[in-house]
Amino acid sequence: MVSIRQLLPRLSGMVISLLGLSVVVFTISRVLPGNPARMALGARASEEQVAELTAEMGLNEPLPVQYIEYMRGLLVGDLGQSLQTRNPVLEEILFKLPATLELITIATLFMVGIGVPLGVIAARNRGGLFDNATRVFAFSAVSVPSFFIGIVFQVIFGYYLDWFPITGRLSLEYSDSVARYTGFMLIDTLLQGAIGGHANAWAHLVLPALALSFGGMGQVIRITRSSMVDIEGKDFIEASRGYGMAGWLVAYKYSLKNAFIPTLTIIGLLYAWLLGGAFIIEIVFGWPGLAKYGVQSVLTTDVNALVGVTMTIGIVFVLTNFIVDLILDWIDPRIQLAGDNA
Amino acid sequence: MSTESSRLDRFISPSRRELWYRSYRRFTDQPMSIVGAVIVGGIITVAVLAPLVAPYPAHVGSYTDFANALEPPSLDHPLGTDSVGRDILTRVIFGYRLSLLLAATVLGIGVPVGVLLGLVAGYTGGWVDAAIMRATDTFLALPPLVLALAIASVFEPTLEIAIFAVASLWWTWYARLTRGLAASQRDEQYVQAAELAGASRTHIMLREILPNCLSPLLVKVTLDAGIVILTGASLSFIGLGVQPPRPGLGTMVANGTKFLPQQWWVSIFPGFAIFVLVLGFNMLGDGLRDMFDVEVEQ
Amino acid sequence: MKTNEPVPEDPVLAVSDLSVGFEGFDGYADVIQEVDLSVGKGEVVTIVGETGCGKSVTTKAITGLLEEPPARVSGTVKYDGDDLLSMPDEDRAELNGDGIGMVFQDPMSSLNPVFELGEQLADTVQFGGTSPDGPLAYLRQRYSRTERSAARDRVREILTQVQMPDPEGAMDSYPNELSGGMCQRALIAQALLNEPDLLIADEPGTALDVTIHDKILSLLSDLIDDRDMSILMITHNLGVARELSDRIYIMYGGRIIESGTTAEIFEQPKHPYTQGLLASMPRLSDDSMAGGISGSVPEYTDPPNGCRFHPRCPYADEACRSQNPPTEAFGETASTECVRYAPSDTGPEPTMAETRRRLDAASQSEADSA
Repeated sequence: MVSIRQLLPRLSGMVISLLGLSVVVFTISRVLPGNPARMALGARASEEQVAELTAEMGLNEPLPVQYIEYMRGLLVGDLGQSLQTRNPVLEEILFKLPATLELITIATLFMVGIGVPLGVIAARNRGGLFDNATRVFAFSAVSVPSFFIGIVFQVIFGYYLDWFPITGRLSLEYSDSVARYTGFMLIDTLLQGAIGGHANAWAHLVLPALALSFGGMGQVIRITRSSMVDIEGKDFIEASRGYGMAGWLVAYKYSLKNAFIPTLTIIGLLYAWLLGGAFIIEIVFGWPGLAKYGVQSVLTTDVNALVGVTMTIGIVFVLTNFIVDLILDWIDPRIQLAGDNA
Repeated sequence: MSTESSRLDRFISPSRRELWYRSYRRFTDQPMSIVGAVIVGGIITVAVLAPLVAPYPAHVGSYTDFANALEPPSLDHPLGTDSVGRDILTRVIFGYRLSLLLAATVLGIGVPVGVLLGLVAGYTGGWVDAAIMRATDTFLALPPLVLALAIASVFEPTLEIAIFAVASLWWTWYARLTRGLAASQRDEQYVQAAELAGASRTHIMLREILPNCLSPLLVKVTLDAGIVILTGASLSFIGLGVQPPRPGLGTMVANGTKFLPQQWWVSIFPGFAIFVLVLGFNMLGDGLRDMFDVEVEQ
Repeated sequence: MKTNEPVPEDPVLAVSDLSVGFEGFDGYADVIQEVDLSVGKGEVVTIVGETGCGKSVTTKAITGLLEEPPARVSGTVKYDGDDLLSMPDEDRAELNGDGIGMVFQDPMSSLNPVFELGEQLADTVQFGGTSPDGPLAYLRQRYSRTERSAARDRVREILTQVQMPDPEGAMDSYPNELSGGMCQRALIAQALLNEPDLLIADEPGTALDVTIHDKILSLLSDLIDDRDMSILMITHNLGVARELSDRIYIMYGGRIIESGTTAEIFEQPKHPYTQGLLASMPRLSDDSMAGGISGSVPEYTDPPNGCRFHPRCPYADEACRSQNPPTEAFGETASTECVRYAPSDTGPEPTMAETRRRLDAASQSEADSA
């Protein structure tokens, strides 16, 4: 398993990246035009009130001092107040984050759950019709703008076929009865035994998650296919066939475990990509997640929220990469060895 | 078939011409590469000749003709008209112009900057390398769209600002890629020979190392063109890119959402146009990748 | 070559008129031509040839590991009387698992790097040759306590027999944690797990350094003595061939150009190529430096006319260029394929001394003109 010696450099790298990120984001937020204090108080506030709040918010201090104040607040969990909603930024983020995470996680499931099998089957039928069709599909999936595919899904599956709902997380008839525990609709409905609500939550997730997953799915298909083809040519796979093992067993057990490694490597990158793409999807589908809040923060110059949201996204991204690295270590023993010898 | 043990060794080393021929064949053997090249070439041509080719050039600006608003596709207007009566086909053609301009500018700024920094980092090594890499890591820690949003909103949201926002991130990928390539070339014989001969660092970087990095860079630029266009379209869709009445493809899709699903053509055609262009770049880039036999980190 | 040795009674393996070609980028490569060979019960038979002569391709054709396009295989390969080439794939796979065992060439790359050794080997015991009916059947058998531990016991048993130090520890390790010698033993074990009647060994130990190589060879020698297995071995190393084999086939350019018992090959080699190989073996008692045979293996997309060896042969003449050399038999077990031995031929019959002289002269003149 992974040793502390291997963890430390990674952890410190993480921290440095996050620190650098915080500096950049903070600077940008303070450069935004418009006086945050005025935005908070509204157009009718008087000059003195604005000046008072400005001083109170510490906006007159030099930038580095403001930064330190902010970091101090961060460590105790105080992210300031969201200027658009008047609630603490931390509260807003914690409330909205699960929605986005749920969307992204289901999208990742689709990406891997659909993409990997398609890639494997395409590799096994190399050159055939399935392979070519999958290839065209993968290219298309990567080329399509996420807002476009979202809209197309809404039109086809929502309006014309009426198979799935097209906005929100839960239909009206359920949203009152389901209480909030974790913020993850799928979990909360199960915790309360609301099976109807659970099914409904899934129905609301399908279209946005699928639309979000398209770009990544195309990449997963292509990488899986090409690494399967690569591995098939390796000596140890030929050896397995030489020992009389069935073709499908060699492919799905012996080849796939090797071929999955490159896919896993890009999943971390894909997660970041999904975080960006979630913005668009949340807007198209009216999904009440962090991304939508983030965009509104930008449009309303809600500086505290902006910094909070971007930091949160940064942390999620870095954490995901960290976890992916751990899983990679666990699957591929060669990495462990390299780490020990380093 | 195992390539290691059952392929027989070739004892003739192929001539240069044969190598070129093989690369060419690798490209043309894939019908998709040719389709990609045709699409990209076709769209670029149409975009460049836009004022000559588009049926209603006047519709690009602030033109209104409410009598003909929201007309479905017809012979007069093959892609229909939008909410103020403008021909969608014309606007799509000019929209391609803007998209290609976006890609060219972003890459035109981001690539040279990134490549230069990458060369310096990769070849020099040491603290210069570490410093530049830390900077890129920071920028890479966020999804591009988020940071582009933040930057784009500092000023008035326009296409030009969107270009600046996206370009300011894009150099990081090229810095990373080039640095990796340059670092691996550092110990190659031809580099050491040049060092011994007393060539200046600039000379070595630009005239020796860079030409050997061109193939992966070219592949990445082509594939990136598609991604930049998608990012730009997404920004426009949110409202932070091309502003009306300019015919940005993403903007057009956003404006058309109000009229879904009955007047679907207002959103769908511009969206589809984006798809076709990006698809072309992706196919072309993939074909180039096969041709140069390169592995590129995406 | 149509060999003339009396096919041993009831041979385990009888290859007849095997030909293999490859569709390639640069045209069709006619690699293996008209190969005949056989392995009798309990016999050790070796194919000797330099790199690129087609010996690996021959064994892959026998075990069915060539991908059919781009490869094209013709002829018959009879294992215990059944033709492998015309058998359906599942039956062939069954034979590969049970009757025929193959030891692959490179131990470092022939083991799956992401699975523990015990896992891979136990799978070979349970599923090599007898494939499960589907994923559910696989899961059932894989996770059945009794079946799995029986398989693992078998693995442990064989690992001990191949002299693996610490078999238990090896089973729990990954291939890249094991040394080259240990990997080679694991490969040999994997071939023996299902009690094969025929073992095919591709350059065993070649990829390892000399001391380990020796140990592997003595291991093989012990195994041969202990069991009644037939072995088909491939090597480019004459010394190895001499030490372990009963009969030898010399292969060049995709053809068998000489065959005979080990004694016949080493004491009375007939073909100039064989003689050249023997002449270039370094000897401690000789003063002179051994000269090699200059030149290289033929280009299979454009092979030489007539005898494939003639461009490098010190006895080559017009007859060699224009016709395919006939096969001549010598006694009960030896034969060779060379124009010089045809009754109608006028040229001198190659002898060791003469071949040595001619090769030395050729390398001398090469050195002079260089």
